[in-house]
Amino acid sequence: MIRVAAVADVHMAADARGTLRHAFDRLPELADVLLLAGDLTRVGTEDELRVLLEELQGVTVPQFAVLGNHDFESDRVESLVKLLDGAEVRVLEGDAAVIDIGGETLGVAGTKGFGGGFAGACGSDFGEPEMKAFVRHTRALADDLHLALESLHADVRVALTHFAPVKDTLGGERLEIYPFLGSYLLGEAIDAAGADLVVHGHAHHGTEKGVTPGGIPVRNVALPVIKTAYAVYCLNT
Amino acid sequence: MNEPRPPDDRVPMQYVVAGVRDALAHDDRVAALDIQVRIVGSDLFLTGTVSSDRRRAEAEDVVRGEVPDLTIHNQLDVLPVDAPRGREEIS
Repeated sequence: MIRVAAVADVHMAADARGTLRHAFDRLPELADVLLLAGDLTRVGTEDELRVLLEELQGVTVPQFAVLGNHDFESDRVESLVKLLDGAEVRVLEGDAAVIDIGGETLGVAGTKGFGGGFAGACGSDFGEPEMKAFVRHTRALADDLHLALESLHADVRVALTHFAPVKDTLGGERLEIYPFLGSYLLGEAIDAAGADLVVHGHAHHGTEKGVTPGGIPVRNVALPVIKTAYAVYCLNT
Repeated sequence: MNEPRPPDDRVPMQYVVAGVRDALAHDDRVAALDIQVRIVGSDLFLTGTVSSDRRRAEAEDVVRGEVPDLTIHNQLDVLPVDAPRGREEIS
């Protein structure tokens, strides 16, 4: 059995320094790996990320992350990824990694993902260049996630995104903003490639549990949804 | 002392709400896209969650800067950040 801890939308900044430290210090007792599903920072600065990395100092298990929209706000993505890599938090964007956990293998494929909406109520790759760019960005990230998942050879496979791949986990959100919360293209890619679990964030007013149309469990681990420093999911190999 | 009063009543309230939400998103002290704003008469209600007491207070400051004449009811909750008490078996 592999125990996966996951959280999204910690939105760390100086005013929240120390708030997660105690819970993270206990994490190695409770889980074998930590997944960070984006929006690590408030406005995407190095200083904010350093606060999070200080909080994570007691986390001795492997850590994977995707970035979220807030992490892009200050156009410092390259620098943020370097900081995370330096702290041994592996950032996934259209790629995947496999780790050994007590003789069992866990594969994680990740992408930030993007919006567009869900089948029957979604944007189309049609019309103005801006609209095409919007939808094509999501499609490109979904295609990369598909390939990354397919490349994984592991006992357990997890897909990690920031934007939602299904609308099941958007429960308390306003319908009008669904297209800005996720895209069915991500869910379609995950269903096509297969996975044992999907973890995402971004939808603060959503609900925790859902399932893809293909039957894969989906968990929205946005901090305001799970209401703990992280959730732990146990996956049997 | 003047009583609180609604913003310029020539401006539809939904535009005032949109302006407040935009300020909450773009002020780096808060940078929150998910705080709910509701205005009833001269009362403005803030609901949702933030990660610290300081951010809760700063959100109120940002809103006061936008609509100084409204009475602000800061009903934002600070998120709990304890370790989980349980775990879920995925099957």
